[in-house]
Amino acid sequence: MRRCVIVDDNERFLAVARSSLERGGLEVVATATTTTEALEKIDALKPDVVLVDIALGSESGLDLVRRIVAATPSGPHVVLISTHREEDVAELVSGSPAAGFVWKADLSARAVRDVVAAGDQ
Amino acid sequence: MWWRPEISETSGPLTGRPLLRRWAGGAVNGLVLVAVATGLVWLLNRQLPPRGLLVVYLLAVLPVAIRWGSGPAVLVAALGVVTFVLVIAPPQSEGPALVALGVFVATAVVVAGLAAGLRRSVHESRELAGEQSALRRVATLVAEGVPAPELFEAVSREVGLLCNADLVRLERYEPDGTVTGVGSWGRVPVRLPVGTRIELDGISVAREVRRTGGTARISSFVGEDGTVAAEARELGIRSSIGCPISVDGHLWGVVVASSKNAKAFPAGTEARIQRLTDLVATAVTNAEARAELRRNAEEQAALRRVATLAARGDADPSPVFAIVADEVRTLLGADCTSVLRFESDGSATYLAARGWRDPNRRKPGSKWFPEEPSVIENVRLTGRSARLDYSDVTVIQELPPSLRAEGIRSAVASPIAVESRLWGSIGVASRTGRLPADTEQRLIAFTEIVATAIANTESRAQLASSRARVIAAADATRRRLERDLHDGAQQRLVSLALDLRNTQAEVPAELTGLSAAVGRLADDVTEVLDQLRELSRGIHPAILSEGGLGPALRTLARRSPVPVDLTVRLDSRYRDAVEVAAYYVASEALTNAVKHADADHVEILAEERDGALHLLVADDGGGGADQTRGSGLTGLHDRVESLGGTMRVSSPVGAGTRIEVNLPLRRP
Ligand SMILES: Nc1ncnc2c1ncn2[C@@H]1O[C@H](COP(=O)(O)OP(=O)(O)OP(=O)(O)O)[C@@H](O)[C@H]1O
Ligand SMILES: [Mg+2]
Repeated sequence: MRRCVIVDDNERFLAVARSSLERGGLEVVATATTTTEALEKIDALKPDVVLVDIALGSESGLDLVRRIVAATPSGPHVVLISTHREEDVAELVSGSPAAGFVWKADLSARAVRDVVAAGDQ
Repeated sequence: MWWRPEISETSGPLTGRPLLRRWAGGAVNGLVLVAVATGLVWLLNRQLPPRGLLVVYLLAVLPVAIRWGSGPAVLVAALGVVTFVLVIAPPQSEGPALVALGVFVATAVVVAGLAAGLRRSVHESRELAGEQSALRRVATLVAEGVPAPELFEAVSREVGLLCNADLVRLERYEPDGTVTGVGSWGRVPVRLPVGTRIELDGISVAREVRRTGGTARISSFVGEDGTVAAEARELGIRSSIGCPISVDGHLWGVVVASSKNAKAFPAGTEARIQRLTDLVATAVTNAEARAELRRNAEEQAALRRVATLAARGDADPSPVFAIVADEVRTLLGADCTSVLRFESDGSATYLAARGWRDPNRRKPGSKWFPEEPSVIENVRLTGRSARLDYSDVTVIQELPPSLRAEGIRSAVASPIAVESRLWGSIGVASRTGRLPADTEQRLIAFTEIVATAIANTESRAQLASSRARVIAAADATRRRLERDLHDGAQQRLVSLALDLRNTQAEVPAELTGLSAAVGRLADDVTEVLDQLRELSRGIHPAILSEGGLGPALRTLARRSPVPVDLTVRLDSRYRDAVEVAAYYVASEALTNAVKHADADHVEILAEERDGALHLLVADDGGGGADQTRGSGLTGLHDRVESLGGTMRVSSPVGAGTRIEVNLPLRRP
């Protein structure tokens, strides 16, 4: 598992997250700030994992997760990220087909791998 | 008694006796008496001087004078004197006989006069006694306050017996020029029953009485036109007299006595009837006062019922319209009623209608379009009460389509003015005749209540919507605050924390101090983030906007220190105001259960039910919630009501607390 796409509407976070993940050995093949952009890039690049912010500005990250999974059921692992703590959004995460959740301040390649591994079990 | 006239006392005083019979009776009896007297004189003549015996003939003269009057008595006197002179008297007694005749005649005239006078006064006193007892009987009925129909019947009978009539009718004058029979009595079958309206189109006593305001008399109906004359001819009635009944100075009605005898009613009959009718007037005044009182009481009760309902100021005033339609119909004795609201396009909308043959056209919500002639249209155009008498409309096709099949004869409508703008109208209609003159005035009492109810409802609706606006604005502000925090400070701090971790990772391993310092910085930032999180959670739960009510309630339940049994049967998102309200209700109720109830268990149920969001929060704690002790429950009430919803709190001491809320999903 090497190739990753981050979907978040905050440019600064995208930059910080990219460097954090790449240091841990995940290649960020693309970033996206909107649902449409994300779906296009995922379709074109076929990443192994997609990180999706729950709050995508006016769009819903949860919707995007559902659409990614619906489009390619055997597609990428999806991990939800948020500035909210897991405790505050647990019901949203468990209700979505995402593999799991990582708090943005704790984001690292390792955290992502752990969540995906836990979700695969 | 000796002076009693030999023929029926009802046939009137002496003078009323047929002349021929009187003379014949007097003559025959006089002849017999003269013969008897002559026999007596002949017997006495042997002992007494003949001239003195002339006086015996007085025995024949006096009875005839008393019973048959002075004329026959004078005849008998002459007969007696002549017989005496021819049969008994000695010669040369003509002189004294002539003197005796003079005395006899004078005596006969005086005695006959006295007897007649006596008889008259006895007759009058009997009549007076009869009249007095009739008056007393009627007065008793009046005093007892018997129902008017009974009284009118009794008065008719008394008048009939008193003046020996064949038919008596008591009639009331109507404003439209007709009369209504209110009482009758007769020896002949009554052809026009009580309650019948009679046109005064031809000759009639009633018409004469109305014209002159005094008594009237008709002694022949021969060759006359009109309803009354036709009835008279049919019954063989030849004379009628009538006396007015005046109530409070107004001509109210008339008593008409009729007889088959052309000379049935001697002069003075009117005066006797009039004394009875004065009692009728008193009774009518009483009865009307009582009826007025009762009507007032009924009206007050009806108004109170309507006003009570109106005062509740429910969001939906349609029950007020329905009850107004009912009450107005009963109270005003109308056949049909309708309540309408005027629309800006000139049409109107039915709000309630009763008694119409075509109810479909008038279902609540149905449209009414301007039509003429129609009282509703007149009210719409003038803003004032209107009245129409459809009996004037002779051609049925001239009626508006909505009325053609209704058989309406009279209609009245009054405006409903809400805060001095014409809002709608209440109309009543009758199939049987003209609606009473005070209908407009009595309708107004109802239109005023309806107007108040509408004003109440409108101001309540305004209040509710302004309250809803205030709450919605506050919610929007909180949501924006939460968003700003999230998109601004939180987002930046999260990036900063992550950046610091990155930096820490890049610090060369030998600079352990720096690495630790950066690590502490990152920890500090995380701590600030947690504090911010608490803050923003209190402002507006992010999960509600991100995930909707289900996840938000699940979050509440999961965090609750008291175990929560949560059932959510919702499968869509609802408008913000509804979701926020439901969330706050659950959150506040749960907080209360934790804070005040000492509960072991809380049940929360949220489901969609008949177009409403139904939420139940029940705890098994101590109960006794009292919303006056805090602001939480009151705030919930406000929030729920502002959305047109309902909230019920039941919290008996010792039996837990149940809060049930229904929130309409569609905008009110
Ligand atoms: N579930 C409950 N069980 C027992 N008592 C209750 C319950 N809920 C409320 N009460 C009582 O009713 C009062 C009013 O409740 P309310 O929520 O309006 O105010 P509060 O909780 O006291 O204050 P606030 O909610 O404004 O912080 C409370 O003070 C408490 O005494
Ligand atoms: Mg409270």
